[in-house]
Amino acid sequence: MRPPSLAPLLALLVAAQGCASVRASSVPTADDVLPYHRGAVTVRALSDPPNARELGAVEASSEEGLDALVEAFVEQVRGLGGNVARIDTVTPVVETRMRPTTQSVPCFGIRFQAGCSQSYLTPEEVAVVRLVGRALRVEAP
Amino acid sequence: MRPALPLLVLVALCTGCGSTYVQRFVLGAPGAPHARPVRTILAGDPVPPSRAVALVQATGRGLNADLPHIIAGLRAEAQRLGCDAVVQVRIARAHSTATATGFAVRWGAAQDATTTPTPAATVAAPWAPPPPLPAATPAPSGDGAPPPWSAP
Repeated sequence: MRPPSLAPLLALLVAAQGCASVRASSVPTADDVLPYHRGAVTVRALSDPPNARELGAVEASSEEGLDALVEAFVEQVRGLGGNVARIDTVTPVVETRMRPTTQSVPCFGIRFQAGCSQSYLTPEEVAVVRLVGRALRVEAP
Repeated sequence: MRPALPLLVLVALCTGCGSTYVQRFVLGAPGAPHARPVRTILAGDPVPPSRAVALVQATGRGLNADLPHIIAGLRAEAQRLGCDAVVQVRIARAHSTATATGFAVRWGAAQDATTTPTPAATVAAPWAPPPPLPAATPAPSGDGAPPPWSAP
């Protein structure tokens, strides 16, 4: 008996990564690189905390809701060693995606009609929110 | 009596054709819910001194995919959080979906030291224009020549 091939599973994983609904990235802007911050991170908007040191720029986008979006944003801030996630701008976007839809259809000329279906793509509008901000570090007094 | 039935069915169908979904991520301590008017300040307009309470998003679909529904959703969420305004509001709209994001804030001491304090009493009404910007101080010029953007 031939063992099942892993190729379809790998292809599915790659495709799933390409369609992830939460994406985030960051780039350090400070000279020194701090280790991953495992402590608490304060999410802040509208103003910078006093005596904050900028560590890098962070962006995140999600269509799964604000909780997942901010969580991904904070994770990037932790990766830069920051303890303050400063949100500069929040931008909503409505994107149009093509969603595969399968519909059962009558099978003409076939005796057994149980498995006849057709697949097609239907447009679907998705609300995506994008955060852009910075990773900051505030040392305890 | 009979003509009212199709009308009722039509109303029931239409009310089911639109929905507004509101979500939030709390950033600070919310206040007590209220029914006061909530001011809306679009992104790019000056924001009076305030404290961010939550990041809010309202999404309208179908018949609710328009500005009144999503702004009403943001304002209702701000009222539930005890906030005075929704600031930095940005809007996106497509064919059957509209969404808006912003920060629900409470008027208060500015956390940013560079912001000029503005009395909260001047922004009581939600339709009130934004407060005036502080007077710009002219940039010092060494030779006394007018800046290049000044009128001749």
